[in-house]
Amino acid sequence: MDVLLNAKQEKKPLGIIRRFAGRKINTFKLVATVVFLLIGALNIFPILFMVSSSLKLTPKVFEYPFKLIPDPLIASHYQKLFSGGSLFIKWYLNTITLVVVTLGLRLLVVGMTAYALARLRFKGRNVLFFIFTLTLMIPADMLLVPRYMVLYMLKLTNTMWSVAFLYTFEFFLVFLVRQFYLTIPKELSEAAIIDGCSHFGVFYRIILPLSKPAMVTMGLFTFVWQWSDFTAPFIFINDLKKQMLTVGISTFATEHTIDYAMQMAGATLSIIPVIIVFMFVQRYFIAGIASTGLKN
Amino acid sequence: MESNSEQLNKMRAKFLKKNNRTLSLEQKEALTGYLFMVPYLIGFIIFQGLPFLLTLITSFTDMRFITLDISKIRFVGLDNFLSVIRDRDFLMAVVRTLYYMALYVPITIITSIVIAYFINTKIYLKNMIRTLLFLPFVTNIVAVAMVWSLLYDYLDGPINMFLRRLGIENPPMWLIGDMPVVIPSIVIVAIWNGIGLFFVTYLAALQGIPKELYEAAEIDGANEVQKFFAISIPYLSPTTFFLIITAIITSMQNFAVVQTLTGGGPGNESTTLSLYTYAQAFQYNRMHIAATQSVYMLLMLAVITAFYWKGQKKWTYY
Repeated sequence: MDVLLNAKQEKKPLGIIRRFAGRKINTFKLVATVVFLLIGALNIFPILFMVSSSLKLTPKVFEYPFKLIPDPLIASHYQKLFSGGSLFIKWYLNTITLVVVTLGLRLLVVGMTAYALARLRFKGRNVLFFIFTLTLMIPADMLLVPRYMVLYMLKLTNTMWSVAFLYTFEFFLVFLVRQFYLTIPKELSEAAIIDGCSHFGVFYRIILPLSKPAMVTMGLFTFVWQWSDFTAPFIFINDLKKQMLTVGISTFATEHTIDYAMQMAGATLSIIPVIIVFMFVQRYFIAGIASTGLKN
Repeated sequence: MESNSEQLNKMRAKFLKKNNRTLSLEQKEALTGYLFMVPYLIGFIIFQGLPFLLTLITSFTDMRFITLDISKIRFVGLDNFLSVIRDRDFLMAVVRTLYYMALYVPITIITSIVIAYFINTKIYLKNMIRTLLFLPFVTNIVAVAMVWSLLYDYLDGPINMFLRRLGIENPPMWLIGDMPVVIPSIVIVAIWNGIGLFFVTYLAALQGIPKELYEAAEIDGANEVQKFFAISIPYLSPTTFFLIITAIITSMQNFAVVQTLTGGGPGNESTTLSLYTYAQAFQYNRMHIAATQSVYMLLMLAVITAFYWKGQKKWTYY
């Protein structure tokens, strides 16, 4: 997870001019850059289309050629989304609650588990780790039905908890944090133990304060993934009032089948919080992904 | 007398051992280890282990609805497995899933190697381009599906409008086409949405390749293409191995993208295994069949991964 630690030190993007100053410009590189800028622009076209259409009059959504800046530019769709009787705000709040609850549960459980798996020696540890890792290979879609059975028996279906618990006990983040703990020098905790500190004390006084980057990454993953998940709330929650934003706007899309601009306003509002957060902390996020991929 | 005192000593030792409250360091460590594992283990058993076991058990019974009343459930042996494999819709769903996988895995891997290779050393404005290419990864599938259904719209969508301008009179039907068209259309969206994970992992792996290797190759007169195939590709092979497995698993994990884009339609043209299993459980109320299909799905994945694992030894360098 050194990638993760390094992320902090990575240089901030400099201005284009400073970047090129004093460097020989390679023609091949320049052409490749232009090509990739075009690909990049094309790549975010769907997102631009979404945002732009949400501010258009519905009949203008399919206007050809596509106009990025709407004419006339209107915000009435957004007003409608937040007007009385709309469940939109409810879904928003539900989703925020879910993310916060999941993160809270994870903070309680994941760090401890990851530390035990990374640093504490006990019988059966490797077997457990192996079994946990195997679950990473099972597509979650395969377990939807039996998970529904279990949640139903526990009377958890149709509550936010069903989804929160499922997320919390996914192994991926435990794995990620464990990889991070493996990079913390052993000598640190060993010295403390010799000085008479308990393992519990080592974890709370030494390891946790050091795990900030890992916890930040965990928070980010939780936010981005749980905010965006569709399948779990779709299957396990059926009351529209308790529903999450993603499933909410999909029912909303069937309600407003032909009101494309309205649909796009809902879609835009659902992606904006994640995109804003991502923009600010993308280095952590990308480093987190890269580190789990590499160490596997 | 002597044997008596010996016995006494033994008893004393036993007593001391029993009442020795101070555990050794190793014992303490192990105890903390177990304590730390308890909360996760409980949750893991309930939400991961139990569902897995239930799938296996249910697939051998005739349980149509969820019930705790065991007297209502009958053990039926391999009946479900036989009836599922004779179900034409199931076999079609398998074919669609494999078709989806056959498109998703190679396109994702090849595209992300190329993107990572260029971003790593071959372009300026690295961070900006990386962000542009990564951004779709953080957008949720519902919003994605909503906007892509508009983009794909047969009559008015910008894609087909553009194609018509280019002189193509019969542009693809996209999401309302039959299987050979609708599955690739979904795969395009899935790759667009998911490729960030893959190329970012490759990017990190590329940064781990020692520069000296390339410099040595340059001295030997190797060109870009030669360097790419002789150094980068072999060096990336462990990453590729891991990412291909990830891609295989992700491609079976297609419920969200298919459900939101087409709901399995038109007709059943895009009903993959995950959608068909969902329908069995929640629309036709056949929990036992859904469970059996899940078991088949897992077997399928296991067979594919095993074959792949065996095959990879030929091309992976560590």
